[in-house]
Amino acid sequence: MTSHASDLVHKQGLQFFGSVNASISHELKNIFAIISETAGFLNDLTQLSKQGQTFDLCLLENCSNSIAEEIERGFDTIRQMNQFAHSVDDPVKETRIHDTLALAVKLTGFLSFARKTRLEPSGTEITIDTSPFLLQTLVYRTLRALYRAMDTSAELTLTLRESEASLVTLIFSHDQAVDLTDFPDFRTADVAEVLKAAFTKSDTGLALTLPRENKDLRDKFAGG
Amino acid sequence: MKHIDILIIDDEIKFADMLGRRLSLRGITCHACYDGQSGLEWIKTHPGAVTLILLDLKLPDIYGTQVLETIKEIDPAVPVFIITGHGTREDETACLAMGASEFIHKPVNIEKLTTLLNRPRGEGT
Repeated sequence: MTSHASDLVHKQGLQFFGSVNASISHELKNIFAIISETAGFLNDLTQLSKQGQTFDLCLLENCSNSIAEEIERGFDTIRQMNQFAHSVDDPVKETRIHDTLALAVKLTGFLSFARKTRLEPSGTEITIDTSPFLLQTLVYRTLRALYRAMDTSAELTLTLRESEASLVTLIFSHDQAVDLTDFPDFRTADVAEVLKAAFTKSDTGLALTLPRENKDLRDKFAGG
Repeated sequence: MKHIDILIIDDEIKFADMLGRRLSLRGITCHACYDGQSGLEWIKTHPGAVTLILLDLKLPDIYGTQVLETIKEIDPAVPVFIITGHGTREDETACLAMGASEFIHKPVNIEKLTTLLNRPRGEGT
C-alpha cells in the first residue's frame, strides 16, 4: 500500500465521519424540533382548557403517539450512529457486505435528497476481507452520487452477487436513466483504488466489483 | 391586527403541520408544502396570497437557497424566514445576502416567531 493510500484512509475517513455526523445531527435536530412543537402544542391545549375551551381528546392521543414515534426514530438514529462509530474498530476484517449495505442505506437515508432504496436480501452470507470503514465510505459515496443524479420519484435497488470465486459485485439498479458522467469523482476513485474496487456503468445501473481478499490492505493495517 | 397568511415549506411533514397548528391558535393562517417544487408551484398559482414564507433549507428536491432565489424572482417583496435544523454561519450569511429576512434555528421559540410574524413590514421584514 502506498503512503498516498495510507493518507487517504485518514483524510477521507475524517471527511466522511464529518459528513455522516452532520447528517445525523440534522436528523436528531429535526426529531427534537417535532417533539418540541408537539410538546408546545400540548401546552397550548392545556392553556385553552384552563380558559374553559374544549377540544377533541383525540388530539392528545395523536400528540402522545407522535412523540412516541419520534423517540423511536431518535433511538433508531442513535443505533445507526453507534453501528457506524464501531466501523473503525478493526482496520481490516472479514466484513459482511449485506450489513455494510444496510447501514449505508440507513445513513444516506438521513440526507435530505435521499431516494427510495430497496436492499434485496442475499441468499447466502457474503463476506470479504477488507477495510469495513473504507467500504462503508465507498458505498455511501456511491449512493449519495446516485441520489443526487436521480429524480425524486426514482427508486434504487441494491443487489449483491458472487460474480466469481474471488470477486463480489454490488449492483445499484435504478428505474430511470441517470447522468453519472462525473462519477466516480476523484475522492471516490481514490477509495475505490485502495479497495481494489472497479465500477461499471450502464443505462440501468452501476456495478461495483470488489475482491474477496485485499492482501495489500491487510499487510498495511493488520501486519498480515 | 392585520391578518397574516403564511406558507410553510418544509419536508418534515409533522414539524410543518404542528407548527402550522400552533400558529393557527395564535391567529395566523398557515398553508404547507413539503418540497421545494410544490412550494414554488403554490406561490406561482397563489400570487399575493401569503404575507410571509417560512422556508426550510434542506429539501428533498431543491436546495433551500435555490428556492429562496426563485421566490425572490417571483415576488421580491414577500418576506422569507429560513427555518433550519442544519444551517451553518455560511448558510445564514448567504441566505441573508439573498434577501431572507430572518434565519431561525430549529427548534423554534413559538412566541418569538409569532412576534416576528406580527412585526409590520418595513421593520426588518
